[in-house]
Amino acid sequence: MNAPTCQTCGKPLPAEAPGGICPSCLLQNTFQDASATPPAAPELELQQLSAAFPQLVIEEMIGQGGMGKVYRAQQPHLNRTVALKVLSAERAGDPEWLERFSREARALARLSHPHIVQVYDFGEKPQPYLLMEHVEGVNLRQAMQQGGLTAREALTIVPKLCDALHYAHEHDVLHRDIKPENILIDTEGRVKLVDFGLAKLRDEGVLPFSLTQSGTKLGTLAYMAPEQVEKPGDVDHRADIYSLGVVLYEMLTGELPLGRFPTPSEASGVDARLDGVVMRTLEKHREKRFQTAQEIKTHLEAAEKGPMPNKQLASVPVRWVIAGLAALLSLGLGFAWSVQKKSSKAKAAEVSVLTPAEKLKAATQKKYADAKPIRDKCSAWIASATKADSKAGQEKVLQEIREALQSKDEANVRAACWALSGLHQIDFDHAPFRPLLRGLLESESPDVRQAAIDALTSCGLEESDRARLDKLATLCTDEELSSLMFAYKELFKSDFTGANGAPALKLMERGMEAAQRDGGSMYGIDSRRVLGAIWGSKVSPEIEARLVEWSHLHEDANGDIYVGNSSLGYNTFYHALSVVQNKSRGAVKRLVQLAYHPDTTNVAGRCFWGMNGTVPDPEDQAYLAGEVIKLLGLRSDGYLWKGGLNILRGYATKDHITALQELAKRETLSSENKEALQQILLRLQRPS
Amino acid sequence: MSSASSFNTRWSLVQAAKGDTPQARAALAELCEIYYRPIEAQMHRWLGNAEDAREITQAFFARILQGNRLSGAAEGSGRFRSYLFAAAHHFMASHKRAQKAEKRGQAVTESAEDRLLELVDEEQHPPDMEFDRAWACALLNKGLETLEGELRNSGKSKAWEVLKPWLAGTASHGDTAQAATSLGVSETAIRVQLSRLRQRLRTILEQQIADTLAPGADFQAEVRHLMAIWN
Repeated sequence: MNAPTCQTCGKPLPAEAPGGICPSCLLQNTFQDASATPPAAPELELQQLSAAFPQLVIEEMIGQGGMGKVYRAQQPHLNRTVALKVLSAERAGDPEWLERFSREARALARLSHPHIVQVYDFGEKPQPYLLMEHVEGVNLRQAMQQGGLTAREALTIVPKLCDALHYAHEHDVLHRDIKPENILIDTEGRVKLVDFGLAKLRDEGVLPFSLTQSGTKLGTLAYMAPEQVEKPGDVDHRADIYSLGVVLYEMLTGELPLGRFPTPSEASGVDARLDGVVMRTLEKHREKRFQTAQEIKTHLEAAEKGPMPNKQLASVPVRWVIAGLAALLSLGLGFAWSVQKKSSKAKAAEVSVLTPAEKLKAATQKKYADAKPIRDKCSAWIASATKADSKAGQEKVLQEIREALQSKDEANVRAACWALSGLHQIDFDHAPFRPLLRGLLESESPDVRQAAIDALTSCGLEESDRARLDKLATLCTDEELSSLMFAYKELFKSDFTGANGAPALKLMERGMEAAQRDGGSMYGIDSRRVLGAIWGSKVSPEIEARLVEWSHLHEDANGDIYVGNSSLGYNTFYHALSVVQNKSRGAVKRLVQLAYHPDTTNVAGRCFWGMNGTVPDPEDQAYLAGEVIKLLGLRSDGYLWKGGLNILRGYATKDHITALQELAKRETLSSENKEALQQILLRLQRPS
Repeated sequence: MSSASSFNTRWSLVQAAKGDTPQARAALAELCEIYYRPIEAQMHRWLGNAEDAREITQAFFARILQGNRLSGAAEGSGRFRSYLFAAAHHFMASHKRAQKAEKRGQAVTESAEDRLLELVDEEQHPPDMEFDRAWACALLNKGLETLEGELRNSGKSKAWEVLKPWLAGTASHGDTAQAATSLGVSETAIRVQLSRLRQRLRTILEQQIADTLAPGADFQAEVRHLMAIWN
């Protein structure tokens, strides 16, 4: 007779196993869970605190961080449990810091939102403290460790965080330290943001911000917006938006978006409709991110309702997809397809083989999974370089990367390239790397070439690289198209006009050809990724003409667009046409035409994105404003109005006053929109 | 974990009092409670006979709990686990010797056996893997019992039933959605409750482990050992 074994770890179960549970797994899960209970505070400390805060019964320490310690306490006269955050004593002697602390605490105490931990009271004596709502639960980091979140859960949590952030931003309070540790979830699943604004106090403290502060700082680094690391003095609410994006990405994929990172759907097979929202939140330049937290929420909701860019496993738990995909791949792709079809309740007989898009998706995901050791190596380099306490320590890591670039091992070379693409957070001399990377552009392996193009783009391209890129463009594989496109973008400084237009147009055309062949998958080498470089760039008339042409791709004879079946046309105008920097009258006209499309969420509303600020000619601007007023007179959709108002703020002129006044008289107008219109009118009527 | 370095662990109490005070005796009894089954199983392995093992284990704990028997071993024993294992081994060995002597018609005096107990040297007896595993199981059992009791007292028996199998991992226990439905809360709430449960179990186990260590003993090493014995 075989002894029973544990289903999880395969070890034999001892007869005396507690309650039939595998003792080994139980111990592993109990002690390796990073949600470790903080060390118990010494009796003496608790006694001293109790003496210092006689109105409270201090029970135990429940947390410890860079700012100080947090205790659970009872407030007997109010019969409630509270959290007492006592800030470290070293700052208390600095009157300037205390003044700042009071100011910040006052702002916090004014915030009252269901998803923000309420600050009840604060004070400076006997040492600076905050008395806050106590949340009986764990933080998001700990919750994520309990078996991984499902995409569905992530999408329940994030909109609440958006609400909380939006509310705080409207009250001029920035968080500055959004990370899973600062997002609390109680035992009923309610979400609360904690530690608003405290990061500012910490960073403006005695010590100047320094990357060499390892430990807690490093944990936070991955969540910081690029400008927060580079120019901590010039941080606005959009840094919070970036950090929230990192949290969202991590919830969906289980990984941090470090270095060259894949879209969430590539990384973990979540719904590809989320990709656009997540990636936009993680834009390096804050101008390109969502401009308000509310926008993230709106777009997440829109993405959920929007068309499938590809046949997807909707709302399947993230982990299931990862584990499931590997299993399915091992059983043969045909089987994988039939399982997917069954789950979507389609007729199984209808499809017996993988569509090109499915094949591409499976191959891309397999490729991503296979590259795990490379990613790990790359992450390890990035982590040790960013946490190195000295220049010498950093130099050691850079030396390792340099050596890896020259090694014969392809995986090593790729890891080194990726690491270079990801090392935004430290300052180092890129010059010694460039010749090595240029050598790698000659490699036989498309994977190595692609990694080298990305790395060279990060290290800064030079004019002499133009010939190299041109040469690569003639012989590259489809996989390299988008990397090359971004390299050109960097080299041309986002200007694809004049002589810069031709090479980009060629790559775009190849990308579109591949995307059409492969069914317009969002996963592979599709137009979206090649067109990604167009975002926010200036383009040549030829490129614009091609984008306008492609925006007709999914029209039928009546001019109706079907975006439901494919992402091609949709991507063309959403990801490119509406966001190029220098729109001509032709492009504006086409976008206005699309804005009449009945599908507001996926077509019409998106045409208005990015329009404000990207129409250079004043006559075109006036034309656009006039068209927007006409359109808003016919439609009530909030999404459309939002984009439309944004355009009017930028482009409405005195000539539009009468039309705007008419528009403001619409009966069905929401008070919010009415007010926005009135503000625009006020500004126009002001004597210049 | 700071308890291991404090002087309030049960084992330090027993050691400090050399087993003489009523408190020390009570503390020792509590410590022994967890070890009864592991020692019995170990005796079984040594003697190869369940009946003999049961008897000698009873005799062993009776002797230990009478007190006055710990003076020799107390100073050097950082870990109660090692002390008890070594003491049990000596007890068993002397018992066997006594049996043999009895067969040969000689008497073995009390004092000789006492001396054996006092000469306990934990270094001579590398911890037995089987014993340590049995100890770990007993420790976990006690911890789970304590946790269950706490939850029952706060009216959360249902949550305990649903979440208990998850404590060891999530792989084979179905999906969170199901657990969430049966408890009428969201999936995220399930994760939160599970995490709280693990934290609490950890605290309970840490306290239990710390109680068996002398001041200054390496608590982390003990936890590492606890995990390593399964490989």
